[in-house]
Amino acid sequence: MNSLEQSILRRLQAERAGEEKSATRVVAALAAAPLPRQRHGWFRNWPSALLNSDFAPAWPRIAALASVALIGCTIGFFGPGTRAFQRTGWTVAQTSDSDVSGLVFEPEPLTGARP
Amino acid sequence: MDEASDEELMLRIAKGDARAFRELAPRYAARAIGLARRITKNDADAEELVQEAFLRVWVNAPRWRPQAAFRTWFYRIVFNLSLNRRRRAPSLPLDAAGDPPDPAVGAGERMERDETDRLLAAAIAALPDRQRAAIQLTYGEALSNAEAAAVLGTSVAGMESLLVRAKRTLRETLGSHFDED
Repeated sequence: MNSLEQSILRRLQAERAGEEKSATRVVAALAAAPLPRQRHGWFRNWPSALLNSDFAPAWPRIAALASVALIGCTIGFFGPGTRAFQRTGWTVAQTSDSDVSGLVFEPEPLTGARP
Repeated sequence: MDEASDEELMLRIAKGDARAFRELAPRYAARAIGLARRITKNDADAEELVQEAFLRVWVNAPRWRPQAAFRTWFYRIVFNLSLNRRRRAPSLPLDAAGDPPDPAVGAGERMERDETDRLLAAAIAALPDRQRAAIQLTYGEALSNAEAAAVLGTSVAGMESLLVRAKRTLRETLGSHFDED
């Protein structure tokens, strides 16, 4: 180590005493104040995040909701009427004719009142 | 009884162990203040920054992964906070006075050494931020070049280059004091 490096080292070590005093103050401040809430990964801890916001999850209800959502999505994406379903070649019973134009609303023969 | 390693303490801190946190903080507080002080050039700012850095360690401990050494990660937090603070508000220069006299040397020699130290402190303070941090990490914290490079977010070659440039600038600034090297 050359004289410049020795001087740098000596200089930095001379300042260490002041830094120790500052460090004592910092450590005391950390010990005095309450520590903040730790930050966890959202994926692992979303139930506790919900709990913190008073949205307490009831697991049976969450499971029921998730199941219904899954069924809904499945029918929506692959149910009768979708192209994916038609490609399978399966058939589904349907009402023969649901043409609303066949409905006629005639006036009452006696009173002439219209529906 | 063996002292727990930094990484063991961090694993406990990640589980919310405040005692482990209070055991870890004193190990690095002084060194972190040295680094922050070197960059911000302000004692009060340095204390505030180091406190904030420790709180960040506590808050983010559950997401810490022990691939990197704790001290490298921590110094990096301190370094980045210090740089941010420095960019936001220029601060007053460090007070270089007040070092205790060294009883091992004579009065004349001591005065000369004090003068050299004072000039050296001023020269270090005038270095660019990253060069100053490189000096502090290498000589103040005794980090290896690889560790210091990780803290500064550069390669080992980049770190060596920072050190070489810093020492060249110091030699040029201090002139006759270190001509013999």
